[in-house]
Amino acid sequence: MRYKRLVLILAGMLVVFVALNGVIWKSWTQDLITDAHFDGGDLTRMGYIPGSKMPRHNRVDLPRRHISLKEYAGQPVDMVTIGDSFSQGGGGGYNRYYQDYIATRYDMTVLNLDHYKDVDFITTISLFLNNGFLDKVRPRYVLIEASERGIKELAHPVDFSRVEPLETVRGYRLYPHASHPPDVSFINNGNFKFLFNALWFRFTDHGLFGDVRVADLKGDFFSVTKGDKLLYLPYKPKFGAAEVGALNENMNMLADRLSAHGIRLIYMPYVDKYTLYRNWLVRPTYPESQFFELLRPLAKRYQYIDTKELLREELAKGEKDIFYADDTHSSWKASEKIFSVVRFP
Amino acid sequence: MLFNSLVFIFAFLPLVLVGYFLLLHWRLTVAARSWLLFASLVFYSWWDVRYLPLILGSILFNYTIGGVLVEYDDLKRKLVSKKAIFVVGVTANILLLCWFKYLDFFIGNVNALFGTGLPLLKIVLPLGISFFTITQIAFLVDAYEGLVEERNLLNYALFVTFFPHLLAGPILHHKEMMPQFDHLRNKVINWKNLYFGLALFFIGLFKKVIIADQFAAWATPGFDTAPSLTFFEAWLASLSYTLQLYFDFSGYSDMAVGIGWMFNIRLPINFNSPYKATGIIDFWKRWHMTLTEFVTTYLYAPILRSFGRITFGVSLAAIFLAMLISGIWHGAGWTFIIWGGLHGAALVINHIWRKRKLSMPRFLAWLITFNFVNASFVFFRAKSLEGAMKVFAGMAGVNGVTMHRSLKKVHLLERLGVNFSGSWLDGINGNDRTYIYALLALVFAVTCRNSMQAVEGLKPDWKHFAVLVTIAFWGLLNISQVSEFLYFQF
Repeated sequence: MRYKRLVLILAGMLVVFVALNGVIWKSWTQDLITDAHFDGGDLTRMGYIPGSKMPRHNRVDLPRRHISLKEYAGQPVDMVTIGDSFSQGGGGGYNRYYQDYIATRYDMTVLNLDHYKDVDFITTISLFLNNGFLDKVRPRYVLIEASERGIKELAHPVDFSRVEPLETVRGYRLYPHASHPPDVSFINNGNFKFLFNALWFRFTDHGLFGDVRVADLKGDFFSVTKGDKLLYLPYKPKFGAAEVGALNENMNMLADRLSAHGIRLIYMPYVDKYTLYRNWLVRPTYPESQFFELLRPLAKRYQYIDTKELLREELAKGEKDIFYADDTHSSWKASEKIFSVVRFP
Repeated sequence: MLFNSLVFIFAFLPLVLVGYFLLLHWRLTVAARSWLLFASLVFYSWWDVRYLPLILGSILFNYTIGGVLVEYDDLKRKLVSKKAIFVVGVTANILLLCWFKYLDFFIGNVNALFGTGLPLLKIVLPLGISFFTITQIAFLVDAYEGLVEERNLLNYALFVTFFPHLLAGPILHHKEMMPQFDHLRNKVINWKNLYFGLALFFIGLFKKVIIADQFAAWATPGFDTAPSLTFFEAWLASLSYTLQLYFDFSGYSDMAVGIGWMFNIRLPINFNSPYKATGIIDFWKRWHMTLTEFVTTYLYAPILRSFGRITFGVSLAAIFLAMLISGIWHGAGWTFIIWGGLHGAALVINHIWRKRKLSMPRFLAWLITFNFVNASFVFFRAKSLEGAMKVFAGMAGVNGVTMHRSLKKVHLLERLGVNFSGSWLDGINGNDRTYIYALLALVFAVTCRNSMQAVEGLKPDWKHFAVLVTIAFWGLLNISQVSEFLYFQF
């Protein structure tokens, strides 16, 4: 009889287990873990935090749109852009490409280049210059966008004399920006992690699973249920004045080379979410990155877009949703602000 | 359908189990067996229903040939010899296997040898064909040798298709399994068997989902995608695969045996802590034991007999040949043939060692055996000879030794030519957990009780029950996994 009782208890527990998974899945985790219903939202997914979810769909209503390298058919181009996930519409949702704001506002044809794995943006532009591609495209501007986190890649010595044929460069492996969450069934370990993280976040600034941190803001900066919570990924800035100086020198050298071909270089480092909101945190845990402060005073022969300064002005005005509450990327509001201020001479 | 799928665990298995015992409860024995057969065919067809006629045709053919062999002596008119019928039956099975499994391998080799450009047929290998074919070859041999008495198509079809063993064994003997269905006590629910069966099933699921799948995440890039491997990457890739294979296959076998118990059917065990082996003979007595028995009975013994006189030298040749064939059976490729040949050669050496009554310290014997098995599995896993050589080159240090940069302060290492990097295991998508897990899993496999021993020690108390529940839920939750990494990377 003992075995019978244990088997029946186990069977009962399995039934409860299935039911519980079903409830958690339908109520919370399906929208957190998968992109079945909405696009975007890495941080709520990684931290299993439902209160900051910003449900959205990819949608563009700007009249002029940028083109990708794949779509390029030899037409005249005004600006070439290259960058990390911010240049690939990483945040998702409404008007997710900043390039579309440039195209619309300045009536430009904007061509976005691919991000290749293991090749930094300065080298990529240099390669496209040396193999004659930029001479063929004849843009007036080249804009390099790079997240503050990845600036070390741009501070390495660059071989500006390197030449690779266009076909070779276009054959490089692409950086895997966008991958889709795997298909998971309604019974999955995410449901379990969701429960534990919900418990853990009550006592700490991080969950038991994942790297996402949650900090209290001094006000509601996001139009979600928990609008006064900042979700972010911590990082230790591993650069100093020397690296920022090296980066600036690389940019200057590239700017010189481009200007010899009549092209103006624009560099837009993208401010990190934590760095941007740090002044409005109740208890800042990590030191503020000084990247922008180190770069600002340096002599530049390129146009520099200070996203930190521009976007902080918006936060100071109490503007909500400059970054998505549930993501590491900024929203259309940031793009609109930046390119309503920046001028391209 | 896989054992480690939710539809199997929460729908198929409970439904089949309840249906089977309900029909037996109503004393509908034939209906109960038909139900099991139907369920087994559904289980098989879940993957691709187009292959259902293949297995049904194979069953009908072998049942017919087996029947003729069983009743041959009673036949009044004997148009062909019994041996001829037997040879036709076995050859047909081998040809079926060759068609699906080896034809492209054969064409590839013809192309390579003669420079012909014959197109590969790219035939999809039907699930379980290797297993249900050799199960039936064994049946024909038993029928030929007069060891089969029963003549019942339903029973025979159930013996071949019984879903716990259909796709990956254990390899069964007709005489081992079918009498169990007739045993009166096996026709009612045995709660102890059900409990132990569930325990074994969930232990197997845990081994597969939690342990094996984790090592697969390191072995796969190491073998399949990394262009070259440094010393530690190569060793960890090979170890990861050795551990993955054991925990995956033994986990699957545990689940199969556990399901058998739930139906009061004792399937033979397949693994008995093989990585504890202190010799290759010992290893094959512990690894895929039902295959070893099959190879011994149906390959080694006939080869030995075919030589005419039996000497030690002849038996060694028979062992080598049997292992070579076993290698081919495992897969269509030179890597499998080399793997079989290596094990054949190792068994020959081990037998000579034994005959000469040589000895060595137990730990050294284990070390040599394990390293041989680990190295031989490089051939087993690699997709090509070049792939295997890539891993061996790394293991030999051809691509240098790279260690974590935190060890840079150990100047001796630097003087020895060691390189340092933060991404020292990137070639296998590894991190610090890789070597820690490999070490822990190896220690576990070598020192702890295996799942069968663990279940035998299971008591119907709350402490053991709590452990079982934890293992069960842990495994179930991780069948479908979610990772906390950025899908939209910077």
